[in-house]
Amino acid sequence: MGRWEEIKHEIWDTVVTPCDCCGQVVARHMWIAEVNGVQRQFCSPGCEELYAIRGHDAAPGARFPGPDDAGRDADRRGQR
Amino acid sequence: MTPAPASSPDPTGSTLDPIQLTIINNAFVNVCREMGITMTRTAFSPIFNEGLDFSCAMFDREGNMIGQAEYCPGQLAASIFIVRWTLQELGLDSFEPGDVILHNDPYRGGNHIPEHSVLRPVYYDGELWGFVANVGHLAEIGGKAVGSFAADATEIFQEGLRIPPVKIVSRDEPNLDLWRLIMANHRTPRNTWGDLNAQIGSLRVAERRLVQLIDRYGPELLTRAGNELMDYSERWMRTEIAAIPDGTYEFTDYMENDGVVDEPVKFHVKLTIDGEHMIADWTGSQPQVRGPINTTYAVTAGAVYNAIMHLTNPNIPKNSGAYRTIHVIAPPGTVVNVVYPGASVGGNTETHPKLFDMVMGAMGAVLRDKVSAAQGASCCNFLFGGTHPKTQEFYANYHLEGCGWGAKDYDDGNDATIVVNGNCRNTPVEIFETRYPLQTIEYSLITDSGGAGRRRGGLGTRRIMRIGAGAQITASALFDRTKGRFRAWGLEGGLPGGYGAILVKRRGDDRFRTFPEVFGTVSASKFTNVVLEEGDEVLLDSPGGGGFGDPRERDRESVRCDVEEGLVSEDAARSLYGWDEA
Repeated sequence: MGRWEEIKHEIWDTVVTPCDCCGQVVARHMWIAEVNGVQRQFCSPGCEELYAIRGHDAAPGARFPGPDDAGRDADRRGQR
Repeated sequence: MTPAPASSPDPTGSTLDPIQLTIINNAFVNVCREMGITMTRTAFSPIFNEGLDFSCAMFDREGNMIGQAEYCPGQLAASIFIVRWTLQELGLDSFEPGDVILHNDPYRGGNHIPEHSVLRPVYYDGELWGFVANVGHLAEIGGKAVGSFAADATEIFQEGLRIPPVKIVSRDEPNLDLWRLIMANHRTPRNTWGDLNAQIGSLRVAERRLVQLIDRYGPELLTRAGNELMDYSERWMRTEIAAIPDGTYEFTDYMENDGVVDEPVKFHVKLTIDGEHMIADWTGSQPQVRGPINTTYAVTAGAVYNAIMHLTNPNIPKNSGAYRTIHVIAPPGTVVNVVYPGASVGGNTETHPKLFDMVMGAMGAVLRDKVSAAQGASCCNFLFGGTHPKTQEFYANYHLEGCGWGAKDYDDGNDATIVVNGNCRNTPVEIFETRYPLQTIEYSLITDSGGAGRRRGGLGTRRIMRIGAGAQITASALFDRTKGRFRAWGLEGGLPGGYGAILVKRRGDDRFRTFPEVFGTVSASKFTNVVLEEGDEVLLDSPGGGGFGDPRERDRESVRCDVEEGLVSEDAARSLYGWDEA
């Protein structure tokens, strides 16, 4: 079960957030959901569904949040 | 394919009759056309008033495209994302009458950084009704290369001044502080001033026309018409896609290099047709590369849209509804969806047409009568600038060439035509020589550059330019399809098109040589900031398109005409086409 979260941009946040499934920009509201035990960010519930159904793996090199990004991403989601 | 006509029973419960709907659709298109005409008549730079490297569209208040004019398909596709994401990011509450938003951020929906979008809200009786937008390729926006097309860029910071969505005009008052900041970072600020103001002025014309339309029909009816037109396009596109056999169709292709590392770059697409839906999944394309041939999401999605529009009925109204049933997956951090701070300026000109070709190649399995062989697929970007010896003013120009297009089952490929995402015009030699200190020595079609086939690929061009008296220019280039196995591929036994090339002959030399030979550049097709002097000559060859079908099956009269017109040599006619006439 996912949830909508608003992305809060600071003035120094110049980087946009891509959807983990389709790669589109999530400009204001992201859909956060857990897929196979991993928290993912999507542009819509539809993309979560597509991601889960297709067993979609990120292409080699796709950059998803790693340990170093946890703080930055938490900031952007307004969790800190 | 028979479309669902507007007059058929309508599940949306429409009460607008099809004639009225058609009239309003045409009115939307004409607002956008008039925007474009304003642009060509008022812009300073040849890239706009001759090359038409801009696009005009209009949107409803939710950011859905409801009308567009026939300009650059790539820019029109990008504007769908630019406007939608800008409205989401800024929020509708941030707009006021008379505002203009400026935006060129590739990571926020743009195709590449030189393309600047301006967006103006349109109000009626104090209520926001929609938006008008103009996307244009400014010829100089700073960065490491004159002409802002650095073929060896590895970060966006080298490609020019990046501008997120900001108000360049607030309530019809220019934000002069922002203007000054932009002017200070472009090499030809007077042109930027003129060109950006031409874009902004075109929005005012469109706003006036749109308000006249609302006066005539009323805001509610016009909104409903926009919604019904989008639903109509969606139904029609669903019908078209449903007619394609269900299945999965894949295609892999390569570019020769990224401009920084001399290794092939891999792209892969898997197209799934599932009833009325299409999914274009680019997973399997290689990780983002260091050089600037990465594409943005908008470029990748635009290439898919562009190809599908070529494969379906051309009369489908071009609005957001037409794209609702096409889903594009472009994993971030790959060569088909660049992430910050990756470079991407060449992704629009070089990569988009190849992605388009890949969709064609994949669909060839089931739509052989509609697809085309690969196109030359390079804009042959040639950038130059310097101080004009006559005016002492600094100038810069972004020059692009037409190439050969791929042949189809039913016709030869187009000759000397700007890549399929551009739809731009060629700048006339006279304009070129009037504005810049270069003389055109030769401009011709290259014999035998069209891939041989039952249908012949389109021919590439040769242009030779000489640096004029007293001039010194700083030149950069970003070409592709110049070597090895990277020529435009043919289909069904058709042969590949000819190579592209950029060569130089220094003053006093007796032959053209490659830029690595003369200047020690790493790449022969992609380099930045080489200084050329008076009397030096540059040769630009654009690649030809691939052929379709066995060349020996080409009808003899067409071969005879090709030979007579110099499009095919007698030797090639004999060896490739089996021509046996004297």
